[in-house]
Amino acid sequence: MTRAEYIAELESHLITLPREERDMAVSFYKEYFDEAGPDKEQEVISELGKPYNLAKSIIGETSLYNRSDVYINYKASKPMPQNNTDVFVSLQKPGAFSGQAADTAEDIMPKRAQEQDKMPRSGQGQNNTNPDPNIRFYGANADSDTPKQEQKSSEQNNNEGSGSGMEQGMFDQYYQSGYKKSSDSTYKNVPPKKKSISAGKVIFWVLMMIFVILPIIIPLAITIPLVMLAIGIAAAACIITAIIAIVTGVIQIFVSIPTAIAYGAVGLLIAGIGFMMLSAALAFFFRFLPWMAKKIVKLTRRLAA
Amino acid sequence: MVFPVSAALLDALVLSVVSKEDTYGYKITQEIREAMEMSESTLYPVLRRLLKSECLTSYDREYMGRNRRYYRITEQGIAQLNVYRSEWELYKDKISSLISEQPAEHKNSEKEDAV
Repeated sequence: MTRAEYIAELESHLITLPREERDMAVSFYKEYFDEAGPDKEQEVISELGKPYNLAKSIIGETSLYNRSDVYINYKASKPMPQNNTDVFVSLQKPGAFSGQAADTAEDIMPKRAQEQDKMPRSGQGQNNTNPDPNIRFYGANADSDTPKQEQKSSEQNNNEGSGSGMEQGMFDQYYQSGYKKSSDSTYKNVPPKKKSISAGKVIFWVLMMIFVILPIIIPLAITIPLVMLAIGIAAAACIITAIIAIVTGVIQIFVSIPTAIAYGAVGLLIAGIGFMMLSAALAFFFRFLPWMAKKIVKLTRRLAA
Repeated sequence: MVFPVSAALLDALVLSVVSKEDTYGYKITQEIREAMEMSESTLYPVLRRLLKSECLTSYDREYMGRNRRYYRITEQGIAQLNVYRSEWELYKDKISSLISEQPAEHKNSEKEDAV
């Protein structure tokens, strides 16, 4: 695959994104290829993986960004939660850092407060604690910016008072839902698995349909109720015959006693058989079928979940 | 790397790299790769997220007849990075004290120094 083919395929997989998003992603990767140079073209292609998977990671992140927006804006609007212990405690929630337990919040807080005291003169403080000499950002700007920074942090304190309640809720929600997931699993830019219907399950059910449900269950489901219906009709017929026989028997009492007894006996016998079949048919239609329907619903629910 | 890398850590790394100087995508990837394994496909979503949350801004510069998109950290990004740095210090110390060979001795000697 060449670079042009790769980019074209990537673009085709991003078709569901708004045009602006798509162009941004594609131009990012075009630039990436340019920077790597033509010699490394194949290397970059193999490193980026299949265009489809790359597109999936881009789309997944796109659908997620609203949440991370909340998260980052929240934190950014209160970078130094000096007086607001609520904010700090929520930062220490389980899931914020997978290695930290929730109950450590209290014993970290004093340390944190000390750190915050240093913040306004952050220049030196930052450099002392930071072992990396490359991070000169604060050191370089600290002296000239100190008044501005102080002003800024006081503004932020004001903001904290006003918007805290609502944002706190959003923040907690975010931690509980999206952020925790992505920090617990290795970060791979995979969209969150909202739907747990896997391909394997779908294939399993399709195969079940073809080999079990269609050839066995459906014929059974048609024939058994038909048979039971036939039994029900036969039962009705038996009972009618029995009534006729008994009535005839009663009439025969006045003609010939033995004939009357024979009619009566046959009538009672047929009535017995008829009632037995009737009760079987009724039990089937009004007990067994509802029970069966319930079972099937339960089973499908459990399998689908 | 055996330890998983979280979204927050990637954000922190990218913000940290961009805070040093305005830079472009390929270079950010290369710099982060000096510290840890990172797939080339990882950076774009991170940058995108940071742009969306206004921690970074971008601008285009011409370079050798083509476009190169540079990223610059914003005030908000600096604030965010600040949070990440202090969180990282806490996290790092906690983890180190658990994982390193002689945590108790180390702490004692620090205290003595302070006295």
